[in-house]
Amino acid sequence: MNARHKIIRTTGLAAFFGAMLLGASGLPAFGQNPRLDIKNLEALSKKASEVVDVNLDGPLLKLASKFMTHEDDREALQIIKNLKGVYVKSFTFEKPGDYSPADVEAIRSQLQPPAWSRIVSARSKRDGENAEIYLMTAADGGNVLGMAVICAEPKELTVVNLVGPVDIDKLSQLEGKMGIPRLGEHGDESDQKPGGHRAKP
Amino acid sequence: MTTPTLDRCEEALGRLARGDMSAFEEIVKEHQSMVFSIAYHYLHDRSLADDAAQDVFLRLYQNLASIVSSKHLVFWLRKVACQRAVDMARRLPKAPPVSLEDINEPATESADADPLLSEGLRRMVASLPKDARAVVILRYQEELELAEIARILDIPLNTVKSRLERSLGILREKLQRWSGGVAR
Amino acid sequence: MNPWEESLREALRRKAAPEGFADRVLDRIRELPVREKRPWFRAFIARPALRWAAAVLCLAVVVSVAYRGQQERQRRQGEIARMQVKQALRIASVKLNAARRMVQQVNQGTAQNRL
Repeated sequence: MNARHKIIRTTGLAAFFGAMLLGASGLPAFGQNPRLDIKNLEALSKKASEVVDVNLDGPLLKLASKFMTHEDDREALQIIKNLKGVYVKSFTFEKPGDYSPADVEAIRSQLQPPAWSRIVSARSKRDGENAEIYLMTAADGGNVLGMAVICAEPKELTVVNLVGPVDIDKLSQLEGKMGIPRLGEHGDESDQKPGGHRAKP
Repeated sequence: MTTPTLDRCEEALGRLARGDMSAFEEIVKEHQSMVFSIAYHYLHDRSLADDAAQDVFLRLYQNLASIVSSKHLVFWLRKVACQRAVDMARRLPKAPPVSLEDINEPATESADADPLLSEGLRRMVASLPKDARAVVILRYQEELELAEIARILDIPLNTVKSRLERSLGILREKLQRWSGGVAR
Repeated sequence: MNPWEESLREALRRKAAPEGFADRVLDRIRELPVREKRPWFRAFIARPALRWAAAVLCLAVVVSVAYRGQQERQRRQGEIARMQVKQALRIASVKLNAARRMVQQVNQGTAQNRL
């Protein structure tokens, strides 16, 4: 075996054992990060008529939780108590086409298997809406390490990235609380989005 | 420095702060020996050392407001005395080599156990590299710890150590040559 | 200290300043330009103990103001973070449920077609 083959073989073995170790420790698969890089979306702020930009890392979440002492903060506190990061970018545009599929693709390209699993993918051709939910779980298939939601509508783009063990059921149950309209109370999705955004033109 | 000396200094500083200028004379008399000796051992010239020491006290008079305690005063005097001596030495020609013939028998009875050796050593110290001289003087004249020397000269402790080591090596060598190879 | 260093110490023992040294210093000081009479506050702040007390007091005030400022900043930061958390979770929840609903609608449509 020549030197080059030796290096490749050694590297391969190292990667294999590294992956085994990572799997055993409950860490994500080699090279994947539950935190997405969504900086490229910042350029859309210039074109958007409304922007929601939330960047809360571990220390800020801890600080926020110290101030979440009201009764109606209880559910939210439960969700964030073990999270390491909450990142949201939501843009509302004046007209369709103000953002490009390439903007979304740059995010989607980070959500590849085996690290990420797409658990929900729904498309409405009629409304031009596309919604995807991704989960990153530990290599042994155990704990949830992160969640990503991409909702692309003609005049709205939202990317949500939660880092840490996300309880999806609890998150879903926030409907009806914290000012979120419950499904069925107003028929279809309410005209009023959180923060006063309109869902449809 | 002994405690009674410090107390006297504090008392004099206090009087000085209240505008009693006679306290300044007391401070000069208290510390003139230290300041003069630093300058003398550095320059090995009484006249130059006298001038340098006077400059130090003149500067002290002009900077009295910055002196906060008697310990600070001593620190300040040592620091400025070294600086003044270095300044003066820069203007002097290079020190000649020390030889036995140059050293006269002391005219008056000296307090030194071996006046010839002492004078030889003084000349050798005055011929050390300028950056190392002050370290040796502060160490052996003032008997200061290396950390204090570092603070006074505003140089790192390791620099003090290396300069001291180098200087002692030079002095030993010079002394051996000077005394005909017999180490004392 | 070894004997050799003792010799060095002896050689470098302090020497008495020349005769009349203090007088020469004072003479030079007298020749300096006459200083103005110090205003009362200069005499006041010339006293070391008072200078130290003033410095300590100033420091205490600065530290106290800085600490209170920091507390207030942290409180504001915490409130903002709290609002942002709630907004983020609201959006996440709505989008999550919207996606699930779309899937449900698609499944219902598929089931009806089969029927």
